[in-house]
Amino acid sequence: MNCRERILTALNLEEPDRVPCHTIYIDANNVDKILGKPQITDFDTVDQVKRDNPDGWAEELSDLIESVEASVFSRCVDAAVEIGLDCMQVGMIPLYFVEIPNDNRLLVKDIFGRMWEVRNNEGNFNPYYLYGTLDTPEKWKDTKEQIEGPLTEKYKKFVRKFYRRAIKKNKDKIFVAVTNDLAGIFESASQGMGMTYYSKMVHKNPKFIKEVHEVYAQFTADLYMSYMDEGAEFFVESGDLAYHTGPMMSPKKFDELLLPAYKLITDAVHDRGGKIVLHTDGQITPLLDFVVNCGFDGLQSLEPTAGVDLAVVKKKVGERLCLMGNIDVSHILVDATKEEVYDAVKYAIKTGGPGGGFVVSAANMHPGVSVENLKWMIEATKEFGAYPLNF
Amino acid sequence: MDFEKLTELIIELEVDDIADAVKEALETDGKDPFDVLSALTKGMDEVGKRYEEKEYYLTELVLAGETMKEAFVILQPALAAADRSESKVKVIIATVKGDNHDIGKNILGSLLLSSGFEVIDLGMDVDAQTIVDKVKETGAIIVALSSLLTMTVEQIKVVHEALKSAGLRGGVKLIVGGAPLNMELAKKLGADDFADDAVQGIKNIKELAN
Repeated sequence: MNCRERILTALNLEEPDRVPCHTIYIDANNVDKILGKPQITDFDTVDQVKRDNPDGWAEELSDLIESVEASVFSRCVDAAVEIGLDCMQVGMIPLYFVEIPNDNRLLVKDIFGRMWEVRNNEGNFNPYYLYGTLDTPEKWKDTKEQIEGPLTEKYKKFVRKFYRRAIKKNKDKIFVAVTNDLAGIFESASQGMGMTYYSKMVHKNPKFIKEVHEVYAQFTADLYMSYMDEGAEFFVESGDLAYHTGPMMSPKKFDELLLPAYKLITDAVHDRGGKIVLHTDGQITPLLDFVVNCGFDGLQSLEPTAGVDLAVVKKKVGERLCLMGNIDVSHILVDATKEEVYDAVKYAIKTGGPGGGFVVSAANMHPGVSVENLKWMIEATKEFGAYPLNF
Repeated sequence: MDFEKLTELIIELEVDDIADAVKEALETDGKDPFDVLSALTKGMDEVGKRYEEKEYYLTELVLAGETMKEAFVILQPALAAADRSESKVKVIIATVKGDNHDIGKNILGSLLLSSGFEVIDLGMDVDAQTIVDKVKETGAIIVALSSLLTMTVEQIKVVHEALKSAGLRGGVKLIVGGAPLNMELAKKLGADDFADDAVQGIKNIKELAN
């Protein structure tokens, strides 16, 4: 089987030739370790533009965002091929650079109202969420008009070019999924408003929150359709619905306020024959039925350090969801020994693999993950993941 | 404005009504500010109970915290003016350097306020020296740190070492929280205690303060 066949078979809840291997991303510092540093870093570009255009650098850099993002994800896919992953994700984030007086940080804003600081990860852009700005009804009205109008048209064109560039060299060597990582519906809504205002609206005006989710869902679905026009078949919705000890909201509120929005996206993808999974780290176990009911084909992360028990999840939803994840990124993929990494992968395959519908995957990703440990994860998957499993 | 109503406003997360209610209790009804604080604390205790019973979740905790903050805008000056000689336990709360997450920290801050602690909130992305300087300045005996990024948990050790170098570590209890952490890692980094979330955190801090 090739990578595409392997992943699609797992997503169809069947046994491929072996358990596939995936990560949601490889951070740019690690891409540099795998491929070698590029001649010009992201921050070299920033410095150059600021020198050449001190008064209009933010606008000029914003015009370059498409190129930067395509380059970043293209290199990420190159690195994924190099180390032997079966699947990697790409996805543009709708950002633009901003200048704020007396604030020397390199700042970007996104169309959902979030402010980010672009930190320097060994020369590479690394965005950190700072705060949300969409905290009045008037601001929402403006944002809604923009997203339902010119922004959808703009980004539908943008993502076609972005996707073509991101997968150009490697589309036959790896299966490339599309994600709205950092731009998922729930995180865009809650972070865009700031958690305080979002929480207040959930309590006082839930219809408003439902509307926001559905507007963002339609935007996402429209972009996913553009990606599908370019051949994309597999999507990963960025959820981040839970934290260390449980879901951010009650399952009942997720059903009421977010399920219709997710269904809008999953139906659109399924209508065109695609597959879509939900990424959400944290303790997601109370939301497993929600994930199924939203129409997702799978669930990614399965974060062990948040107490997610793969055996419990497999038993509860393993016949309805493809399970992807369970390799920890706080120790196993950071500073564990080879033996520990191998043990973690063996456990994951033994527990999640029987009957198919399982993909070994890092629960999340960050710049501190060790490339060597990542390679061990892939090696162990290939060594122990052949079907029929032998445990 | 009776005390039961104040308690209910906290439990029901009435963030837009609490400030006026506290004002009415203090100015119109002449209630003792410490009795008002007790009523609000009772409300927060119930919020914590509902969170543990999985009736309330993070969004309710955030809103409860905000409701307490609104109450304290009016209540704090009245408490200070009442000038009782009760020395409050001072707690410094902060998110470590490099980290901009503050939800858990803010909820903890509100729970600490409602429990009668004096809270010194240093905000987010706080370096170790700032924390050391604030301990020296305020005499805080508890430092509560939040680190939600794997990349920033090492800052806890930096704070621990900085407090040691300043000769302050023996007089300060260090409690930490955040997704990448657990008790074992927290102790390895030099902390005295760890809490899974803010509701656990306030319980642990009350024990540390005794």
